[in-house]
Amino acid sequence: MTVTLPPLRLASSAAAMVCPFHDGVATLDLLLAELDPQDTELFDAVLDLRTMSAAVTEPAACVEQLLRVRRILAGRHYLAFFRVRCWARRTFRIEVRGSRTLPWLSRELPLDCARIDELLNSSLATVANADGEIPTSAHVRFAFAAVEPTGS
Amino acid sequence: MKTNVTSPRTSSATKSDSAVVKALNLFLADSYVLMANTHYAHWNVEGPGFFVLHQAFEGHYKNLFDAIDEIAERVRALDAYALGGLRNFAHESGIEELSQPIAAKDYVAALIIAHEKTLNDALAVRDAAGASNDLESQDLAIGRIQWHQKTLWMLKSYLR
Repeated sequence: MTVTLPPLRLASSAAAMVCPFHDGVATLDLLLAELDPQDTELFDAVLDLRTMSAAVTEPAACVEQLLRVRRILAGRHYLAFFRVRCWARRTFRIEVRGSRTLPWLSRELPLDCARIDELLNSSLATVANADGEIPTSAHVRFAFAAVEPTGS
Repeated sequence: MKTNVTSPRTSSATKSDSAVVKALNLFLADSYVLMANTHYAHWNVEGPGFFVLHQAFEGHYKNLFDAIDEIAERVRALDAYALGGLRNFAHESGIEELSQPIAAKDYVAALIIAHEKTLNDALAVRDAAGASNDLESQDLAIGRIQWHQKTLWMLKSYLR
């Protein structure tokens, strides 16, 4: 199993909106506004996530950083981080396929994801055969959600 | 003797296709989706906060049910038609419908976001009604604004 990065695609802000007022990296700005800059580990982790997300180039690294922020927060700033999680769910996709010849199956990032290995395992489980065996050639990758057309 | 015949004094200059009616129908859609989400949360919330959240959500969705009737009937009183259809409500409001079980605190957070959206649109009703001198719609909006603000305070306090 390998984790690969997909080609660059833009994050979606036009998909079904959980929060009509706060979306994209603005949700991270809201979280940053609540933090104490003296709490350097947390503050820097969120700042790094903001920088990585704004760059829109490395979805796997963004998801890993998101989960790192979640670990450091440990339930603090719940509402602000909930807005971040909702944005992340709309912005990142997990794609899995059983082999290189099969098409990617795409699903949204779970709202409650906490560990990268859980994400990978649950994704791989979706391509398991009838005996529950996961093909050795199975792949998982993270992607940015495609931009949905706006207007008609 | 000269008799003055006057038409009944209407309290509002609101027209059926006015900004007030449009704002009321959007507010109606928000309230309906928020009620459905609150009802869903009432049914499916789990965990240590079950009893307090289950009970609080019940109070909220009952309040919203009464408000929805009041808002829709206000639209009718303005000689317009109230929006209908669950799909229309969800589409118009833009509030995401809860349809999968989530953590208890996530229900609270999701409902906070829906209340914030509904409150924002209630403020739009208040302002549009004020601009049209439609004091009855404005009064309705102000009452709802107060309730949403109070509910937001309570829900946010739970998460702190």
